[in-house]
Amino acid sequence: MTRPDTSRPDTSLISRDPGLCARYQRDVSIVAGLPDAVLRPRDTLDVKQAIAACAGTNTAVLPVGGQTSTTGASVPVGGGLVLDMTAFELTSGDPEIDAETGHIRTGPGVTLATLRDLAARHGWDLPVDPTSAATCTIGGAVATNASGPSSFRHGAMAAWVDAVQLVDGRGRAHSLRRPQVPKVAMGPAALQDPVRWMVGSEGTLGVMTQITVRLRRRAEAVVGALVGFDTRDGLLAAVASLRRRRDLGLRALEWLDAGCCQLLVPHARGLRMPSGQGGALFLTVEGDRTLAPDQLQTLLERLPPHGGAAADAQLLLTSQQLQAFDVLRHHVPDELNQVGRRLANEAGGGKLSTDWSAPIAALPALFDWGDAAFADLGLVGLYRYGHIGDGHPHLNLMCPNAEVRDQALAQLRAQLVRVVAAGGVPVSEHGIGKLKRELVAPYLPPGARAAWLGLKAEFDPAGILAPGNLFAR
Amino acid sequence: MKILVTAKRVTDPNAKLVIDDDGSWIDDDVEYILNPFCENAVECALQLAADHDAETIAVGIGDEEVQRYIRQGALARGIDRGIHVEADEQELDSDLIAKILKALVEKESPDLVVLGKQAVDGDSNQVGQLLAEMLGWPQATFASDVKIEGDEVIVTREVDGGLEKLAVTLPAVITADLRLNDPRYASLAGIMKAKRKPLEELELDDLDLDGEEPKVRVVKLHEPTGRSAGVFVADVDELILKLTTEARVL
Ligand SMILES: Cc1cc2nc3c(=O)[nH]c(=O)nc-3n(C[C@H](O)[C@H](O)[C@H](O)COP(=O)(O)OP(=O)(O)OC[C@H]3O[C@@H](n4cnc5c(N)ncnc54)[C@H](O)[C@@H]3O)c2cc1C
Ligand SMILES: Cc1cc2nc3c(=O)[nH]c(=O)nc-3n(C[C@H](O)[C@H](O)[C@H](O)COP(=O)(O)OP(=O)(O)OC[C@H]3O[C@@H](n4cnc5c(N)ncnc54)[C@H](O)[C@@H]3O)c2cc1C
Repeated sequence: MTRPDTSRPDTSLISRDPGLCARYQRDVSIVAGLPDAVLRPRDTLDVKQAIAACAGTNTAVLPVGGQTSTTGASVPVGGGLVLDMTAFELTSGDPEIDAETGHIRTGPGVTLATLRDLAARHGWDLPVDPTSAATCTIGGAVATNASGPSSFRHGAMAAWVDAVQLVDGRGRAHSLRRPQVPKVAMGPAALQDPVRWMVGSEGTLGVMTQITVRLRRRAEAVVGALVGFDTRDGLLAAVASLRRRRDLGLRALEWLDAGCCQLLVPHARGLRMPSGQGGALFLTVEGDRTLAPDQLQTLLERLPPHGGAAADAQLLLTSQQLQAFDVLRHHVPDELNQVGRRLANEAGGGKLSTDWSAPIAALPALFDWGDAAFADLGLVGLYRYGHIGDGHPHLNLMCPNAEVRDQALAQLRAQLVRVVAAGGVPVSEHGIGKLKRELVAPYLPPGARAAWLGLKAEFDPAGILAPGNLFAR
Repeated sequence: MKILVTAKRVTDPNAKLVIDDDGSWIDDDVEYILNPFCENAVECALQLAADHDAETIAVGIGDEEVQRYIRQGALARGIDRGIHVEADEQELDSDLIAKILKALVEKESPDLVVLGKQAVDGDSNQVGQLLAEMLGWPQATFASDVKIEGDEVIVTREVDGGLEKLAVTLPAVITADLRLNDPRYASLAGIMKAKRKPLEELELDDLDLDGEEPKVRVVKLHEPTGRSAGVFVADVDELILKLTTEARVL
């Protein structure tokens, strides 16, 4: 599309309009903070000029994408300049696909869904599918190492970023590329892939201006099944057994507990939501068009006896059915968030959610511990769902008031100790932002914070980039 | 009671279609699904069968691959048996489909035929109407509600002006609209059972239709011409000028 010629923008395009600034004061968490100014950079030069100007005056700079962060990472607490990266899409950042090699080079402000669709149209797959794909940007997804159901087979965002261009806190542009060879022996392995410094950096090391993602060939077919379970232990045993059969193309392995299944009944249309105490597993299998359904059947037939009946599993054999399920599934977080906001407004309660993950073998004991620990808190609901194949369930504790919320938080912290002792990690999704700093601090590997501070000294010595995110004081 | 229901496979509306080099047909290496309106028809047949103790038969017409959609889309959901009429899909039109269905009706003597109101590939919306006319049976198309009462079917139809309620006497032809029901999902047990359900294979000459020609032929397929890029105009005057002199719509 040709556009009217506009003269070169400069920092005078930075807006201090209070109405505009107010639009950037929140992500989806409870954190709030008003920026002093907003710039919607159109290209790298805009970013460089803005950062150079801010470095001179020690003004904070926070890049934001879709502001779908759940941790306050994209909230400018303490003010400063917000760089809204979504305007890049309209000018220099239009995504370009190389359909031969399977790569997309894109500006940072394009939504993940746009890139996934672009890849699909050319027979490729960008297998990172967070629930927020339609509203989150590739910049935000890289900066928080986003993931989704398909990450069970294909890993999180980190696995799919090949190169990144960025402007650092001194206003310098860098082009980082992951080594294009499998073996590197130049010192500690963790330091050899500079792209990984940016994945999960939450805006603290630089503002990404271009991202190159790698794609994989799209499977001919993806098919799915919804299977009900009478008991949670039966379900977890099935998860362990399914994980051993990854060779059959298992792409995603998700859980909805009994309460979540119940929430979905009014929306489920032709699908029968399982009513057993263990809830339901939703799995997808990818592969050859004619073989994938057979692989799915083989997986289901070999499920260990679990008190339910694999024979009752409902099959989702077309892309329409899978899309419909995706829409259905999203009702769970939507409804819990709604209830959470109401509880927060009424008496300072609200929804507490976890992002921890733990080895599958540790889950039964962790859940049993949770049943006991959360039982007498006076919660108005406890819902578990999520990426059970990765040992990554989201627990949602619905707290009627502030007092219950505090007690629930204390129990969640106690649970984290057990999660980590079992070999898990406190945060597997959504990042750290401003909300989870203290939660994560005790569990960082030795030297991690110092290493990050070392990178800060190189990329952002004045500490103007995304202050408050990650491991800052 | 006996209900005949149609099960047509159509190209997945989400799939990117590729036209053959000579423009004669689409490249067959594409995902197919059961026509969504046929899913509604199948669900309708299953619900009526449960209430009225009917036998249900699903019919698909076309290449051998059609059998997969009869089994997966109809038999796995609970339809009792299938009939596949082998035919070259490029040599079929709504008229010939209706003639084939008429021959099957004469062979099977169903009390009710339920079809989709349309197939989402060709979008011609003709088969149900043609079939009813050929059989001399009453028809109720675009059904959003269907009940059998005695020897009548009470059908609510979605029409341009709103809803219309009709009573037609059996035997009759019904075509299903999207809001008629929410099609069920096949279960694993259903899929396993479907593998063993009878699926009769017929040729056109088994139905005395050998040599029947379609009245409509696809002469050539081509992609829609791409839209040219838009332009920004400076003001309303320029817009009006362009609409008058370039687009010539004013
Ligand atoms: C309904 C909902 C569902 C979600 N589901 C998932 C899920 O399934 N999986 C998951 O992983 N997450 C999920 N999230 C969390 C969130 O969507 C992801 O973290 C997402 O990737 C953030 O993208 P964004 O564009 O909104 O980034 P923002 O929220 O705008 O920013 C997030 C972080 O990225 C940084 N950032 C943004 N752009 C740039 C850039 N160009 N350069 C440098 N840093 C940048 C920001 O500074 C900030 O630190 C969900 C959120 C919501 C609201
Ligand atoms: C000008 C115009 C305006 C339109 N406006 C609208 C609108 O506003 N809203 C809207 O929803 N649609 C609209 N349409 C779409 C229109 O309704 C469809 O074109 C039509 O309804 C569907 O035709 P069809 O090809 O599916 O019908 P047919 O081919 O006649 O198919 C009908 C049924 O016959 C059976 N059948 C066909 N072939 C086979 C086979 N091989 N094996 C077994 N069974 C078979 C199936 O059950 C199928 O569902 C419009 C179309 C036109 C041309």
